[in-house]
Amino acid sequence: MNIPLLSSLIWLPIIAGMLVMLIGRNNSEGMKWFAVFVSLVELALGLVLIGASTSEASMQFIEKHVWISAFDIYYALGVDAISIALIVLTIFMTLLVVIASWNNVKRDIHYYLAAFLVLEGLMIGVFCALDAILFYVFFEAMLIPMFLIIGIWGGPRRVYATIKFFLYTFLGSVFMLVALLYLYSQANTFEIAELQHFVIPLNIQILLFLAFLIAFAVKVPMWPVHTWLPDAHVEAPTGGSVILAAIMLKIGGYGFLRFNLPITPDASRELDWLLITISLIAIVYIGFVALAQKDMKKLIAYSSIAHMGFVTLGFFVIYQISAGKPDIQMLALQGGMIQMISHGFISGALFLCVGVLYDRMHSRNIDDYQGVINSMPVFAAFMVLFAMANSGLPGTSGFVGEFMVIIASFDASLWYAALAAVTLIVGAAYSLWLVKRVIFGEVVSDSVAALQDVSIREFLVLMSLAVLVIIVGVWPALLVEYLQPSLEQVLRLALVTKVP
Amino acid sequence: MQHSLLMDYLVLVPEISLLLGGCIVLLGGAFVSQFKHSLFALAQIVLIAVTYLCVLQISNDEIELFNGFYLLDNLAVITKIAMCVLMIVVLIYSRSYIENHNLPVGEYYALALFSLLGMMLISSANHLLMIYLGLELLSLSMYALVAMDRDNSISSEAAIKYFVLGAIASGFLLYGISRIYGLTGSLYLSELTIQNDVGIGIIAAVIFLVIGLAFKLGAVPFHMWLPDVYQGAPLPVTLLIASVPKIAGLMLALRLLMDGVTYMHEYWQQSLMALSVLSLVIGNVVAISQTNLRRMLGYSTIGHVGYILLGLLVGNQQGYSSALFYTLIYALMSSAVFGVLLCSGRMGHVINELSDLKGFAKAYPWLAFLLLLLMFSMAGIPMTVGFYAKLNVLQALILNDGVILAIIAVISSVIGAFYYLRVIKLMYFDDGEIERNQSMPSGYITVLSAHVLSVIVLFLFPQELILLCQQAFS
Repeated sequence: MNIPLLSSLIWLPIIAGMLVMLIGRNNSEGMKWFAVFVSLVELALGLVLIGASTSEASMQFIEKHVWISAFDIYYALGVDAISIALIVLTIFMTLLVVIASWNNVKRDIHYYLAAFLVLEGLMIGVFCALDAILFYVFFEAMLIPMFLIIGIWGGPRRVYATIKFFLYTFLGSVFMLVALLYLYSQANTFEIAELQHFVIPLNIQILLFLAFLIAFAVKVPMWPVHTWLPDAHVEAPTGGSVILAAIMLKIGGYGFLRFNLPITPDASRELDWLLITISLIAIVYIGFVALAQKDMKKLIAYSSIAHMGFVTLGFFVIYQISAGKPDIQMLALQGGMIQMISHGFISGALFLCVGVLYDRMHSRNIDDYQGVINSMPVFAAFMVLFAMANSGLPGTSGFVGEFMVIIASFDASLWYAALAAVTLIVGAAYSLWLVKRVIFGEVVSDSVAALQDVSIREFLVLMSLAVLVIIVGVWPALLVEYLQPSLEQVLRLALVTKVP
Repeated sequence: MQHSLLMDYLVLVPEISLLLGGCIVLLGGAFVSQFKHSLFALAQIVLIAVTYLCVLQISNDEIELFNGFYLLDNLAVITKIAMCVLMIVVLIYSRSYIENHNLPVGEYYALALFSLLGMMLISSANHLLMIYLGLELLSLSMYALVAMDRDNSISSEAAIKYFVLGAIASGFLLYGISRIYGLTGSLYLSELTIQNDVGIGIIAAVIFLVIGLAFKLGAVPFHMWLPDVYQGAPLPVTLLIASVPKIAGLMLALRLLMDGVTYMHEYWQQSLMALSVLSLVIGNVVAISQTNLRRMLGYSTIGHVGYILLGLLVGNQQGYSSALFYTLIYALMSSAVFGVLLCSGRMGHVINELSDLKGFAKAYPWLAFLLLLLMFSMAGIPMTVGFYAKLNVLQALILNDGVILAIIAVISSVIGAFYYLRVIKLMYFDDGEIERNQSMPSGYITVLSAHVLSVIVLFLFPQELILLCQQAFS
């Protein structure tokens, strides 16, 4: 088969998005169906991708063309299991967002859909790029549609939030650009795979590591560069929050797996304490911050930061696990990766739930709700399920990743594990307290009493996520085994020493 | 190749045609002022003919003419073609404004053509005198153009400022040139080496040259005239100043520093370093506090000049080609921005202050989208060619041990991103009352759209242009 599968995955939504933008002015109904159609084609292509992939660690579906010979930049695409998992997550969440925004975007819906389709293509591009500059191009270009999504369709403080979001991320990523150009000046290549084998002295590695760290830590986001996230999440429209939480944050984690761990392994080992510390701060401190929130979206945003702390903890705790236990190191890495996927589902689902409420009540304030279960029983069931998953209930996907990371970090230090485990309680506290205040209790306001339960469309969206959360929760082996070879490859590269 | 005087003149045909064309346009303007449209057509025919003649000169030979006064190399041909093409676009954008605002039509076209002649002479100069003559032809045309709207006080103020400071700059340059002549005994660029050791005399001369250059380019701290002129000049003149002369400014620098005093590299490199860092920081920071859009663009130009200087100061083939690439892309983007402003003005909404942009996206969705692309491109965000322009310079810097400068450059471009984003914010996120009273001029909008979309096309397929810029220095 000679169809360039990855290129189609990237460019189909981008071209479709441009088309929607240009011709969609007077035909918003048609454009919605068109966007769903494109998303479904993407999903089909994504399933073909899974079906056709083999369980090797190496990159597959490679496409490589010279792009700019003067700079040695290639249009090089390829995927392994890690990328495929995240690509399919991207496709799936975009489909849900397109469906979920059916009726609740009042202004210029064709532009809205166009922005999400373009964004989808760019995010897939990030996960496919094998050339560092190509990666950077997609990584940066992604900001444009997101900037517009928050700025045009966002809440009252959207301008502040979106400019903050843009500048934070841009500032982070330019350091990565400098680091990549420096690496090129030494290694004469932009190919990520070759950079991963390139020998670099330790002091240089540390500087490169820090440059990459700034770029990805802002994206994840890690404490203390997380402050853009609550603003962006609160002001973004529902779809924007979902994509931001479910996919964009994962790009930070993905960057750690592709750049920090394999390209600068010795610096990662050297600075593991730093990453572990700020991950733990995120887990513990941000967990408490979440507890104090009055705004539902803000609460979920902070909970996202805390949960992403488990991801980075899992990635960097491997250096403190005794070298003789590769299984445990693998467990940590797997835990981080599963946590990324699972958090994509759960945070996306929670933001969609908030969106459902917001569409009806136009308030995100927790105090405005009480007793939603009385008027929206089906919705209440979903929300409770996702809140439970968020707090790490066994049987849901939220449990698996966190549990794996905690188990693995026991081997590094009792304290890490103890601190991380303690926050499971905090996580449960804010999630359940949220549910208690919003879903349960007596109905006090008339507007809550008048709420309509979820429509078929909303039901389908939430149901599909609920199914996935439970499948990953009860049968994680499916995902773990699929990711195994690629993660082993990452682990191998992360543990070798590259100091000359 | 056998050189005879006639052959020399044959090579000079583009310049001669331009001169004749300019004179005819000037005379035509004086006698047939009621036929404004035919003047436009005439100027365009001249420009297209000159472009064609320049294209014919593409070859890999390097020709020296008129006893070495005049040099025709790859670099000269490429920049001349770029200048002519840009000038064609500039005239298309300017046409309706000058016809509708009672500005002297014939003089505008004629001065534009003469300034182009000056710029082409700079591109081909191989002799300090030639450089100076070209530069004066360019500058004098520009002074007159800025002062063209003589009843407008802001415009006159800008013209006086421009003239006085420009004259000072020419003075610096001329003084530097005369010192160099005194020390080396020659004005030929290839013969400027001195026999004895580098002393304070030659260093001072080079510094004078650099100061003159910095004035002309608008690098901090010699940038004072630039925002005033951007704001005060009639819009088509600002469009002209913001586009084609930037290429000429770069050529001036290349001819003086690269072909001329190459051996003084370490001295002018240090001066350029100071100038570029100052321009990057001050240009971008001060742009944030502007409320007038054209002033803001003026300061943003200063920031871009900082980038161009960074490419120059690397001082090798890679650096020069990155500076050339940056300048071409910058001229392309900047002319398009003013093209959008002129188009909006023509359709009934004049944009002067930043606040005039509020709600622009609602009233003029397509124009706003074009401006959005340009702003992202100026900020250097990927999917627009502005990204490569910056990448190219940064790469040249980093490959030549300029990591610290590269870091300063990227931080300043993050600062710069803020005010570009603010333009987008005003257009898209803010509400405002803009009425739309005229329909889009279809020919204009086609040219403008093609012009702006080239920013994306060049992003996807940059290969040819980058190679071209590299070949210019091989």
